Amino acid sequence: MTSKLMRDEPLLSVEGLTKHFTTSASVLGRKGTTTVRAVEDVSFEVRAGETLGLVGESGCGKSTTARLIVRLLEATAGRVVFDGIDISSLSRRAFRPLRRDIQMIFQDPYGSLNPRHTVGQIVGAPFAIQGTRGDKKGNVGELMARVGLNPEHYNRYPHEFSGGQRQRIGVARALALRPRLVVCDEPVSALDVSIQAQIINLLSELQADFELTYLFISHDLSVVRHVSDRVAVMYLGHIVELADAADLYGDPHHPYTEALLSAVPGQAHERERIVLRGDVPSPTDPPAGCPFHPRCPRAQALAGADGAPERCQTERPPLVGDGVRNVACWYPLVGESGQAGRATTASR
Amino acid sequence: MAHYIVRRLVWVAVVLLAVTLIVYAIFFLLPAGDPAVRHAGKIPSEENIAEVRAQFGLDQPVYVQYGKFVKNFFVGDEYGWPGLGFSYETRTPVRDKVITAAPRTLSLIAGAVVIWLIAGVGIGVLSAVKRHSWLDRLAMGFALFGVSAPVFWLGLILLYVFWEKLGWLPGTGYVPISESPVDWFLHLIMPWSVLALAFAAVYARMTRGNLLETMGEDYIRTARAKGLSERRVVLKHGLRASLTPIITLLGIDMAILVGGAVITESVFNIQGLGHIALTGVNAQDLPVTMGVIMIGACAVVIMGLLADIAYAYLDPRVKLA
Amino acid sequence: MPETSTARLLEVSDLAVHLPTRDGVVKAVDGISYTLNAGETLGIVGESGSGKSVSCLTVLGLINRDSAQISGRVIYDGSDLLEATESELRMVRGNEISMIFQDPFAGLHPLFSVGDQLVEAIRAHEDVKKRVARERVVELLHEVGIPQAAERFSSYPHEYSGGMQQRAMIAMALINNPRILIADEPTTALDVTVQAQILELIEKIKEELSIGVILVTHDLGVVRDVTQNVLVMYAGRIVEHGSTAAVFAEPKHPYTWGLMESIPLLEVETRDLRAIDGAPPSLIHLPTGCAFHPRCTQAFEGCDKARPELDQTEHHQAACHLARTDRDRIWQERRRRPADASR
Repeated sequence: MTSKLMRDEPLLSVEGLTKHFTTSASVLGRKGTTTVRAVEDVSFEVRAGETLGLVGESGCGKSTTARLIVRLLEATAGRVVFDGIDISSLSRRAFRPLRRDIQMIFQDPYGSLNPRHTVGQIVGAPFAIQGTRGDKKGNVGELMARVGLNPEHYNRYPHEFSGGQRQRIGVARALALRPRLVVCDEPVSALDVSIQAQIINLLSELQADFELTYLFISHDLSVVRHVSDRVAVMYLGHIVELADAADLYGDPHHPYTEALLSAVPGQAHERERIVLRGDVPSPTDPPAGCPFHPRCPRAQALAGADGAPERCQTERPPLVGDGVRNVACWYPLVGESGQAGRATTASR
Repeated sequence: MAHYIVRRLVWVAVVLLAVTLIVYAIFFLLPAGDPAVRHAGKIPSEENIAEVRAQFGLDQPVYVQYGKFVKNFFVGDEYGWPGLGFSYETRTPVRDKVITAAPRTLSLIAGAVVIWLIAGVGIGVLSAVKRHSWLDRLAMGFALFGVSAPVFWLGLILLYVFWEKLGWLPGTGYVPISESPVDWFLHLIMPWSVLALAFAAVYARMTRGNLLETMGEDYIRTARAKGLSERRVVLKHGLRASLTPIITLLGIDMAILVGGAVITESVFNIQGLGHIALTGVNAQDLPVTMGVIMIGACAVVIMGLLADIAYAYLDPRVKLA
Repeated sequence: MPETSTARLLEVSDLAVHLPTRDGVVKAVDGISYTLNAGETLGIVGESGSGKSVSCLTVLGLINRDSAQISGRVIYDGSDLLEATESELRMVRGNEISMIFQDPFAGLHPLFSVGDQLVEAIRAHEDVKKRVARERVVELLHEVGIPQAAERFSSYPHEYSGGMQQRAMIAMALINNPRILIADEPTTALDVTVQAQILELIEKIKEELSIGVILVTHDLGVVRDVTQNVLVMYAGRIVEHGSTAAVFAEPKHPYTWGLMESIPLLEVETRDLRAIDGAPPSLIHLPTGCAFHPRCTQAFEGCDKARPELDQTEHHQAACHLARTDRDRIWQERRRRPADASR
């Protein structure tokens, strides 16, 4: 997929996006509320025509971020600017015309399709909702053919299709109104490997044909690498690293990125496997300072008598960089070229 | 936990208040004749009626009567706590009536619960384990019968067969357990069975459904994979998970029966709470009607609370907050 | 491949599992054979519906034996588990052969504490006092890497994280010192860093206890990292069988090629993914001949007629009608394509 190197305006720009889920326990008021800090001060841009990958483990906030962008959820703080318009401050009504420009593809192709509607109705629904006139059936048939479905199956129901075909239906529905930005939330995670490739290839072709911009969310590092021009890595609600895909995968600067990459099984060349100890902390009670410091092999390697370096424990590192490579770490893995240098920090 | 219970008890009071309001409203808004006229004698004079009215407190504005009732209920009156007032019809304290009737109803419910739990859960387990067998079909046929058979009809048939024809069991009526446990038991067998039948049927169907669903869970496969006997898999792992919702329902069902076993009580002449509620309504005896309704409402809200606590105790995933 | 020197633990031959349904007979497993040795990790890889899970459940008699039509032999310790009575099987399950599953949260009973569930596993096979069993459980929980095992003993599954739950499941499977561990997609529900922890744990256990491990997965990367031998299954049959190193270096079946070429690789920047066209077949109406032929890029006349058997001559076997020399040549050509070269 092509990344345009011209200094083009970002199509989507997310600034300080924050989402806290608050559950209040009591009617009589006593007892505190618990706050899940799902997304914390996340900022990034998606340039027109590119694919930005958003990768991280479960609970890191990547899906919440997606839902905030398409306004399935309302943000606690921050702005989402689409094509120069701050969509996070628009009323629902004012946002509606923009909905057609921003579409979403979901993980579970079955759960997101109404079982009582035919494929024709599902794919055709966006036309009806947005009041688009014209030859609906013809448009739907054309779209179905484009995503690799047989247009003669117009009157079939979702359960009559296989998992891969259902995801094609989901793709067709998302593309019906010719959106400009498509947020793909784990679009291939529920599919068998041989089918995954079909959908990934389809998404690439469609991106070229329809000049789409993708925000591609997945836990699968290999898939993200394959589809993305640039990649953002999330941990516990924060973006910890954001860079061009090749740079980030070839030479990660954040210790978490490095550990994550090393954990992917089946790699041909010998990358020292860094097995992180312990679990991801709860987002209701995130660690002070850098969210990764309690598990960070780098912090452990630099640790003195009082544990990790003080800065890691007390101050949250901001995402800084030259706009191309950005990392949120007080002691990034820079300058230690090659795997060997970094492997010394690994705890095995 | 204590915090939760306190909060729920506050709710209990609110619910009870709402109940009294509704019943008062029905009684005073729906025209059914003046209770004072009805209870003042055969050919009452104006003075008689005024006297009765004053005696019942009916000369005061409705809100004063209501306020007095609520106050008495929560604080107690001259006959003790809870103050339920004075029956128009029999001129005795309602509290005494309730105290006489309650053990009868509770005896009826207690025995019926034991029968319907054992029968319902037992049949449900059997038919789930032997799914699609003739046993399963028979059990579900029984369930259908149990749900659809009218209680008064069934009661009369039992009385006819076991009392009238065979003479195996004593007929209608009630003997306190303190007087003769054996007679108490013999008098209650038929009412218990009749009352339990419909519930047993419902519980059997529910147990069967829950258990079948549970047996498809992954943790049942784990239980088998670790080498447990099928018996243990079903009776410990399967049933434990299937019974939790049933226990919750049980509390509510029992509470509803406190004021609601009217038909069974009438057929077998048990003269429990349902019976006095019925006579109270027929005689426009507001204090009696209110008394039984309040006791029934208390039972429902308190059993509901107990059921929730039991649920939290039985399922560690449930947090009361 | 270490083969003859080590003890043979399990020998499966011609295992077939047919499940009658209203729509017809589902041929979930259709004649597979393999052996498992002590100290070996055998990978069974395939997509959903390939029969990989059903074949493992059948070994332990965990599919409904009354309704399924099962044939073949599963020889463990000199006797055929398919012939065993329910109570004989019960003695084997969780004691000689243990199994762990994909979703550890669903696999643990939500209403019993984790510790109690492990104690129960001991007491199903051994008449020991609860207190003694409890000590053993705490010790093992500690060994599989659960911090504060003594306190965690009384916790309920929902109070464990996903990784902890799978550790607890592994502890439950190991508590009676089994000789075989069957792990059915043990890391599929877990995050990649947790997956690394769990795979490391299984590896360590296998080494220390020298047990045989069957690892069922759809993830070729996992197979490559932790198995010595691998079966590739498609539509209830084995299409390729050999040492993991050989299968990854010289895959011989077009389906295996397709699998390898359809997964994106971490190390390779861009490469066209060659998807396998179509979808896996219905197990009720299997294609005639080779079940893969409708999706196979190499299919030729005859593939739809006869069903190919695994080569009997070679150490590394594949079930394909292509001549062996052709397969080798085609793979070499496919591999040389620039896009694929970097692997």
